[in-house]
Amino acid sequence: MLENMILGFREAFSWQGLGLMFLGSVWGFIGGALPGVQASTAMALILPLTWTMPPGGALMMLAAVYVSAEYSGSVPAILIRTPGTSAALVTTFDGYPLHQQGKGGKALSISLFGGGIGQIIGNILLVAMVLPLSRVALAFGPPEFFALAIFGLTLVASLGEKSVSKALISGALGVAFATIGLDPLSGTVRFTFGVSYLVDGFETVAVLVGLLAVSEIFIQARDARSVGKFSGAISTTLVTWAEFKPMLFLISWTSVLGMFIGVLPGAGATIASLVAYSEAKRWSKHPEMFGKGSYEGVAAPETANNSAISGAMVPMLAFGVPGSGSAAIMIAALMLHGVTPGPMLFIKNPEIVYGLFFALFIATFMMLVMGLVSIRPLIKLVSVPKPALLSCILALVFVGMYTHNASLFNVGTALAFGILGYLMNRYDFSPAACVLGFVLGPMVEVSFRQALIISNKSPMIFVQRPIALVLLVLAFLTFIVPIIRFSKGFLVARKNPPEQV
Amino acid sequence: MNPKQKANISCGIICFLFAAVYFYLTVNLTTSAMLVVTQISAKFVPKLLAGLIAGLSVLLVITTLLEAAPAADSESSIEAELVDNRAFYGTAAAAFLSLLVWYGIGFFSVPFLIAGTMLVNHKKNLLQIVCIALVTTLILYGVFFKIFGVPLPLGLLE
Repeated sequence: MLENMILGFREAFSWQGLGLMFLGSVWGFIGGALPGVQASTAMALILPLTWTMPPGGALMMLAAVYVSAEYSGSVPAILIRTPGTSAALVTTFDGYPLHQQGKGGKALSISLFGGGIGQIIGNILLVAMVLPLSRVALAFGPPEFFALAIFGLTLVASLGEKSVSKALISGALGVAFATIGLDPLSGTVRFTFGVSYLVDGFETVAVLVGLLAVSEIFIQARDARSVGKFSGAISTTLVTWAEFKPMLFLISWTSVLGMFIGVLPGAGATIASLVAYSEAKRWSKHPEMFGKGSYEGVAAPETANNSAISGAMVPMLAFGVPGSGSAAIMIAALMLHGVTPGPMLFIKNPEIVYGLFFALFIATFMMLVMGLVSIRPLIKLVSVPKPALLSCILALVFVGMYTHNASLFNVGTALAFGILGYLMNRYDFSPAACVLGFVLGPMVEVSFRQALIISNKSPMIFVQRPIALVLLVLAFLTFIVPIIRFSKGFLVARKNPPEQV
Repeated sequence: MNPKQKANISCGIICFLFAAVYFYLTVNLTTSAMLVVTQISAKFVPKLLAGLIAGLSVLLVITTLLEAAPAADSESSIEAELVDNRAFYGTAAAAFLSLLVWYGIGFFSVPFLIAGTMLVNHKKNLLQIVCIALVTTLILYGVFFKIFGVPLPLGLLE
C-alpha cells in the first residue's frame, strides 16, 4: 500500500503530471463557465489529445478538467443566472439574488471555498473508503432511486413562494416535458409529432438555459424603469471568516452527502446539489432566506456537486462502471491506452489509481488558486452597462446552445423555453420548479416503472425496502410543511382581506 | 375580481387545457414498438401527470375564486405600454430565427442579434453598438471555433 502510494505520489508530482493538470484546470475552468459546455463536454473535447500521453497523465489531466469545470459552472450561475453546467442549476437560486444585492464576490468565494472543502473531504473519503462505499452503490435499486428522485422533487413545493399550486403545476409541467421523446423502457416514441430532433427529447442544457437565463434577459429587457442600469450594486468583497465559519458544519455534512450521492451510478452531481440544497434548507435556522440570497443556499449545492466528483470515482475504480458522464470519459481514456478499469486496476496499475488520488488533491488546490485570482476580474466583467451585458449573454447562449451538439434546434429550444420562462415569471409560476421537474423527471419515471415491474405492479415494494421507505417518509415531510405553511397564510388572508385601492 | 385574479383563472384554464391535450395525445399514442416484457406501459406516467396537472389547475382556479381580492396591480399600466413594443420585437425575433438556417451562426447572425438586443434595451450610441457587436462576435468565434474546435456554420460565407 505504502509502496503504491509513493508510486502515485511520484506520478502526480512529476513536472509532466503537474503541467498536464495545470492545462486541464485552465481548460476546465473556461469550459465549465461557458453555457452549453458541460464538464463532460470539456473532457470529451480534450480526450483525443490524451492519446499521446501516458495513461496516468491522461487520467490526471481529465480529473483536473472535471474538478475545475464543476466549480466554474457556478460562476455564470451566480453572475448572469446562466448555469455553466447542469450541476450549477441550484446555485442560481441564491447565487444570483446575492449578486443582485451586490454580494457577487461573497457568493463566488463561498462557492469556491465550499467546493474546495467539499472536494477535499470527498477525496479523503474516496481514498479511505473506496471499497466499502462501492457496496452502497450496489444496495441501490429502482425503488431507492425512485425515492431519491422524489426526495429531490419535494424541493418544488418550497419554491412556490407566491403560490404552492403554481409551483407544483410548474414542476409537473417540467416532468411532462421530460416525457417527450423515446421511452427508454419500451422504445415507444412519445409526443414528437414526427419531428426527428425530438426523438431524443429536449436537450437538458437548452431547457435549463432557456427557462433560467433567456427568460431573465427578457425580464430585464421588459423592465423599462431600470433601462441602462445594472440591477445591483457591484462589489468584489469576498466572504469574511466570520461569515464563513457558521457554514463549516453545513459544508462538512453536505460534502459527505454529495460524496454518497455521487457514488450512485446515474445520480451524479446535479442530483447531489439538489438534495443538498433541499436538506440545507430544511435544517437551516433561516429557511425563509433560501431563494432570496442565502449564503447557505450557495454553499450547500456547491459543496455537494464538488464532493460528488470523488463519489463518481468509486464505481469507476471499484467496478469499472461510470458513476457519471464525465467518469465514462475517464474510462474511455484508460481504454484508449489498453488499460481495463475495474478491480484489477488496483493490482495491475496501482500507480494510476494512487496517482489519481493525489491528482484530485492537486486539482482542488489549482481550482482554489484559479478561482481566487479570477473572482474580481469576473465581477468587473459583468459590471458593464446592462444593454451590452444582456446582448452579450444572449449571443453567448445562442452560440453555446449551437455548439452543444451542433444543432440549430437547440437554439430554438432555448428561445422557446425562454419565452415560456418569461410567461411563467410574469404570472408567478416557477421556472426553477419546471427545471427541477425536467431534470428529475426521467429518473422518476424510469425507476418508478422498473420498481413496479420488479414487484409485479405492487406498490408495497417502496415500503418493504428500508432505504426507499426512509427517503419517501422524509420526502413526504419536506413536501407537506410548505403546504401547511401556505394553507395557514391563506386562511389568515381570508380572515383579514387587504384593503381595496 | 381584479386583473391578477383574472390572470390566475386564465392560467388555471390554460393548464387544464394543456392537461386535456396531453391526456388525449397519451391515450392515442402508437405503442407498436412496445416490448411485451414491459408491463407498465409508456402511457402510465403521462396519464398520471395529466391527472395531476388537471387537478392542480382546478385547485388553482378554486383557491383564486375563494381568496380575498388583493390590491390592484400598479404595474399594469406600464405593462400595457410595453405590449406594442413586445409584439414588434417578438415578430422581428421570429423572422430572425426562421432565417437562421439560411445564414447560419456566425458573422451573419451574431452581430445582428447583439445589436438588436442592445437597441431593444434602448442603447442609442450606434458606434458603440457596432463595436460591441463585432468584438463580441470575434471573441465568441475565437473561443468556440479556434480554442474548442467546434465548427460554427457561417451560412452565406460558406
